[in-house]
Amino acid sequence: MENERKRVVLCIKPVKTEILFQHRGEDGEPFQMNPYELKALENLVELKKKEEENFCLTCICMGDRKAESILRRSLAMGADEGVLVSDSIFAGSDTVATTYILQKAVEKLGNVKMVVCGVKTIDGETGQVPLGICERLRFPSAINANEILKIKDKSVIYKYQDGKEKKTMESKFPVVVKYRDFKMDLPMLPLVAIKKAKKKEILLLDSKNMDIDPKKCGIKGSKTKVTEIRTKYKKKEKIKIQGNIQEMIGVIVNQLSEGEGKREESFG
Amino acid sequence: MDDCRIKEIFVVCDRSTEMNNHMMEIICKAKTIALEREYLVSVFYTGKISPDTLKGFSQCGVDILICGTSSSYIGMWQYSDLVTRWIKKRKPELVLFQSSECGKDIAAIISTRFESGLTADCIDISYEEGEGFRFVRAAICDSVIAQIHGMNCNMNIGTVKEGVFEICKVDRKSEMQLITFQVEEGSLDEKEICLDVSKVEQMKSEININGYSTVFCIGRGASSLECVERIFALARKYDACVVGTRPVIEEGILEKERQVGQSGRSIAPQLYIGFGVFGASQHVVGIRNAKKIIAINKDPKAPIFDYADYSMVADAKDILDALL
Repeated sequence: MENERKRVVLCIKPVKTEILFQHRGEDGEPFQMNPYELKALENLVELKKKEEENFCLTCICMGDRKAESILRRSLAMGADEGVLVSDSIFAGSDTVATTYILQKAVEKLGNVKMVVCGVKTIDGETGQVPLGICERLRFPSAINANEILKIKDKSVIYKYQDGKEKKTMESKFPVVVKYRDFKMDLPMLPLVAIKKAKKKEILLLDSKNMDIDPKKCGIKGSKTKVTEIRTKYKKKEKIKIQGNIQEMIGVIVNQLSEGEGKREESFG
Repeated sequence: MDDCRIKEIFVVCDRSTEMNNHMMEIICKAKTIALEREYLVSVFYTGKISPDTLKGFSQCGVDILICGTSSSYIGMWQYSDLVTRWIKKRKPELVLFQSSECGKDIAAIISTRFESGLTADCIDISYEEGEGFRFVRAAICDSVIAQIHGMNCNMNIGTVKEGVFEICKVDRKSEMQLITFQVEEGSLDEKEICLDVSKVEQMKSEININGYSTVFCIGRGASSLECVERIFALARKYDACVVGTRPVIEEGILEKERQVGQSGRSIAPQLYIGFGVFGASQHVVGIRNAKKIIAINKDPKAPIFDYADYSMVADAKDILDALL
């Protein structure tokens, strides 16, 4: 395991594939990277190429063992280390338990100067984990970044845009980064990179090799539980209008006229 | 533990922020719960104080107003320490924050510090006998509604979405209690410095895209000047709002406020017509609540057809030519 260079840790949240790509199964992988972390990973890998390797890029993924494919992909994209944080007792963790487990993982890795998380996940969208990790690790600051520009010896330079102003900022280490940009399309990876990634070892961190209190993990360590989920959208009728343009126009005009002045639609 | 103590709902206003509607909405919701359960409502406020502010809080039914006065803007960590101190003093059952960036950050810190459950962007809160506090929120880009219960902790926390709850006056039985304190001067140790600032082009006034029952969406397949002009003409004819997918916005064809999707807005119109919209996931998540979806795209494999009520494989330009 890496010992000399400072570590930049990217916490990648696995998201169910069907939430991202409902119409196609991306090579049958059950999980994908949260789009915010995918963009952050690209950003950090670019920096590694420029900065002559002055930091070790470690990707952590907390989840099911099936999420290992995410780490393989991150290695193929250019990360130095892939770490899977997985244990049956971690299952069902809410943000309180999750930040505890991630804190223990980061502490186990050591020499971590910067922890990067997507500002939110595309499923839960709570945005609570980055500040939670910051509080747990007792890092003095958490920053918002749209793009990371440079990783220096003791600080990071980044861009932040808040709608009114575009700022270039510099923040001292150690720091937690809330990464605000995202990318949905998966980049094509060269076969050579995929092969190389397959040979690399993915470190597994679990309740046995981390100094962790099981009472603070999983459902036992969680303070909220989701008791019901209801989808809001109706099932689609999916009617194909074949035939000529005139027929299509007919349907469109019909629907547009239906809409005029109507409150409740009563179709079908 | 003092069992005779009246339980409390503690509402934390954004730091150094003057009283606003969002705060009042949360306080009124807290008051509704408090009246049912015979709880007190206490409010933590660090904005400007005036007779109008006091009147405003009093009318919402605030029982205890805790005011921190400060000569300068309070930083996040200093504020979280202040809130921590007061939570320890007041021992509330429920703590509510605004769902602003600032409110969510503090809420996440407090939730971690006290190891208490936090529900983000609540759109409803209630107390069920035997079950405790129940929170409702939306997730997956507004396409699902989740119900969350607190467990394993004595204190529950929520960040409350803006514009959900009503502001209403309450008949007071007793006078509002006012506690004031001076916030200590924060430390000036700058960990973040700004190297450069440039102004972003000011956005024009908000287009109320959620106020239209019919929406036309411009996708890449209809982004030519002629198509865009025709779509706007059609929109005027049918009183529809014109929105666009991310690539169309990025090309500068439409303003940013018209972007619909994961990084833009979510819409739920009666009728959505996509012109040359491919239907990438990040756009579709923003339109899933539309009642009827018509999709026009010349690519028969476009994923939008999986979500459309009416699928039309055609060139958007041909459709638009015939419609006008």
